[in-house]
Amino acid sequence: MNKVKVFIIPFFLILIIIFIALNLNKNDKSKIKIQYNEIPISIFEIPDFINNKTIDTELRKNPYIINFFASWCGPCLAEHPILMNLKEKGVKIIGINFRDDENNLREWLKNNGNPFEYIIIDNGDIAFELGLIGVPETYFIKKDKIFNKIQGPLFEDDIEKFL
Amino acid sequence: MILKNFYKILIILLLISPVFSYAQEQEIIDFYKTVRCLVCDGQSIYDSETLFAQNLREQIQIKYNLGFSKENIQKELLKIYGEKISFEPKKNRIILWFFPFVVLFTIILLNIKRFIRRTSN
Amino acid sequence: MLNFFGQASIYLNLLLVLSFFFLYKKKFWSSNKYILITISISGFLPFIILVVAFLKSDFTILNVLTNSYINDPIFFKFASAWGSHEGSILLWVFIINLFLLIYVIQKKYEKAVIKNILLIEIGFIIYTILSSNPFVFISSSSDIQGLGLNPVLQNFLFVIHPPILFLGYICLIIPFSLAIFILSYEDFNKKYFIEIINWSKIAWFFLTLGIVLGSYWAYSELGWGGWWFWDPVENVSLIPWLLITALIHSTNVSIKKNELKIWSLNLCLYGFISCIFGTFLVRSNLIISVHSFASDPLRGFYLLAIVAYLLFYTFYLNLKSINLFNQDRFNILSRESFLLLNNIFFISASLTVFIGTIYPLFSEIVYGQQISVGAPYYNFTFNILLAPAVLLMALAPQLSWGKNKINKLSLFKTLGLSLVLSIVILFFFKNIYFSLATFIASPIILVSVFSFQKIIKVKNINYFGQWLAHLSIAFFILSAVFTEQFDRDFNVKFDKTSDTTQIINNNLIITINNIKNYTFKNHDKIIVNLTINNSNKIMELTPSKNIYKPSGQITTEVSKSNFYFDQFYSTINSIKDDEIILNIVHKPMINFLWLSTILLILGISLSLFRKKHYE
Repeated sequence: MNKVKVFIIPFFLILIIIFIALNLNKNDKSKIKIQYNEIPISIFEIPDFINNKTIDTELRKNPYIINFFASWCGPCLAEHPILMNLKEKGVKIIGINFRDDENNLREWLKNNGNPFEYIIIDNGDIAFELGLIGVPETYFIKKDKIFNKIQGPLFEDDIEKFL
Repeated sequence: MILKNFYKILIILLLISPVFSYAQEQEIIDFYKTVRCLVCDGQSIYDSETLFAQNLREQIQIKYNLGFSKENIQKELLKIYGEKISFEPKKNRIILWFFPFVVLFTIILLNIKRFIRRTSN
Repeated sequence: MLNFFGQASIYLNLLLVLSFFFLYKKKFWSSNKYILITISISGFLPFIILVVAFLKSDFTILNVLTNSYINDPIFFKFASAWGSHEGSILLWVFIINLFLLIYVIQKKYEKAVIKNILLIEIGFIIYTILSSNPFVFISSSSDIQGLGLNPVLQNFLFVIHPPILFLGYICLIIPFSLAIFILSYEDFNKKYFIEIINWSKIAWFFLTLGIVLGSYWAYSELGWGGWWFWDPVENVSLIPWLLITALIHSTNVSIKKNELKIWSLNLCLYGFISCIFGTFLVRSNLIISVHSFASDPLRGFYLLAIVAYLLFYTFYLNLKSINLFNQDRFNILSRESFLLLNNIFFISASLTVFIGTIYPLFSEIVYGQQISVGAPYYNFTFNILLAPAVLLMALAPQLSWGKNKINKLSLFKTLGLSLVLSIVILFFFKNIYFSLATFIASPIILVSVFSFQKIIKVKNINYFGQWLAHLSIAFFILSAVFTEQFDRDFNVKFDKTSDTTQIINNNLIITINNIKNYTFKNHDKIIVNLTINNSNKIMELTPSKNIYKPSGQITTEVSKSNFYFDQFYSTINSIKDDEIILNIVHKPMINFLWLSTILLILGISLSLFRKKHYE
């Protein structure tokens, strides 16, 4: 029996230590540095899809949002109401249409409504320079500097933080 | 004696032998294989069919056709996506790169006594 | 009903195992062969019940519901039992008991060894009960059909690859328990070492076979276009393999020369711990890998507890035996000192794979930076570490035990010849890596050829196995480097409407014949029929894509065509309304690589036969 104890006592000690470590580890995720890239200038040079105008400098003075979307992407549709809501509140959103078909895009905007101030067509190079990993992806920008990005669909509480 | 001459011959041969060249196309494919697809568990962008990988392949191809070197493209990738993008860790990860050799020499040093027999036999 | 029996059988097994510990002092209970056999058979039950549930498609069990589909073929239903995490842990318990049974059936067995085995088993049973119960009940209607086995796994190799790999991992439990027994009682009897080497050879056999099958599966079925990816899961199977390889060579010294005993025992201990640690890494989702399906951090931490406990105990034994360590003295040019050197290289290599695998995790926690460690790192470090080991491998069998003597002439002959060979190859192929590979691999081949007559004369099947295994390693190195250096990949784009033929270069013409759709019981299939004309050799390939029911998941099926040792390999990259992109890969010598692994396994299995000259 004594031998068995020698085996079992350290076992439980280690279990306890590990569960403490497990709890400590939960906070550790925030330690990973998120990298924000510079906004490529081409965004401000390419004419808009609908009005054929470039983004005006007035917009860039206030905080604004860049949102990557595509008509073929399901999660984009899921976050769409949130974007519409933001538009009503007066937040300027630049939509970047990622690898899409123009006809499908028109159809999509007609069916779902257009929350975007400007829409820019991107075949991949803007996405590349911003370090996009998938659509939808949203960048929150203040004074032309990205201060937050959300990968995947937006939720209400992401927006609250921004406001 | 023979061995010494062989080394000399080898060195001479190495100097004059043309450095092997391989097709440009193969070079870029080999480069794709060192770029990690960030949205798919552990595959390279060459192996993956996700949009992320497709887009990255296209962008790299464009840059490559414009005349950027592999090293330049890699630098840019590291700048944009961080170190995770490349399967090749940076050379300044000293612990990682030196560990194997430190381990090897430590074990040899720890066991050096075994190899030296005091009693001649 | 089955879920109740399943649950009950787990508790029954736990009860029996615990009773072994509480009645350990009573000789009737702990040394009686039949009681021990009963205990081990009770450990088979949970897994057998799970298999029955899968075969009957009993969808009242959650695990069956999520991992199998009513129309799956029968042997996939069978294999689904280890398609999920819960099932694979039950398989693990099953195999522990299998080896326990085999160990007990032998004429002589040590009570203390059985105790060690059962102690580890308790860990896994409690783990099953706490965090991965496979018999969770779910009330489901009768028309339910199941969610289906992950389509990636629907392959014949899946039926055999995991159990074989597990056999390899778990077989080490016996050398492990024996080593603990020897170290705690300090009874360094030779017979235990013979037992250790026999068991580790079985483990070595299964592990090699499992790794090769896994590699072949990834290469031929998953369409990843390579045979080794330095993926974390592959790495964690390579670590024990390297350690066992070292173990077998050092145990030989322990038996023959009565030296390196503590060294071998430690290899047993750390070898088995590395197996469990590997499972922990894969299952905890701490490290991202292609294999990490169904993981959960809590499980990982529980497995970490088991690993930590075993490590703790091993450290304790190491401290206890520290005085016994490092007392052997070798002549530098004797066989045992070469084997020791070889051991050192193998251990360093395994530690390198280990650090490469966990470094991303370390970097994330300590520096807060996410990094990847992949092929470029391992190719560099691993090759540098193992190249000298391979050179030693050619020389060691020629040396004699104990004596400080080497045949200098034959040494220079082999080295000189291989140098000439490598230079010739450098000029012929114009590739420095292949030339280097020739330099390190050809001594083995030369030595093997020279000693062939001797091997035949001795008529010892073990020697022949060793000879074959060493030779196959040389073949493996040559073919692996050749394949990697001279493979060619092509991405070919076809317009569906207009062109059906693409000319890559003068020697390679690719033609699409037709595209067909088929419907099967549990999947739909799109097949592209194409012809490759490689310098007038015509090959037919049929790569396809499967769309599985009910998940809608798509898998890419590879099509291969062989030409002697070369292989053309094709997958569908993407298929759209108007265009098809095909991936075509030319892998020269790849079949020679598989042949060399078969030879290696054959060599290992020949060395499994009992060695008479030990006694």
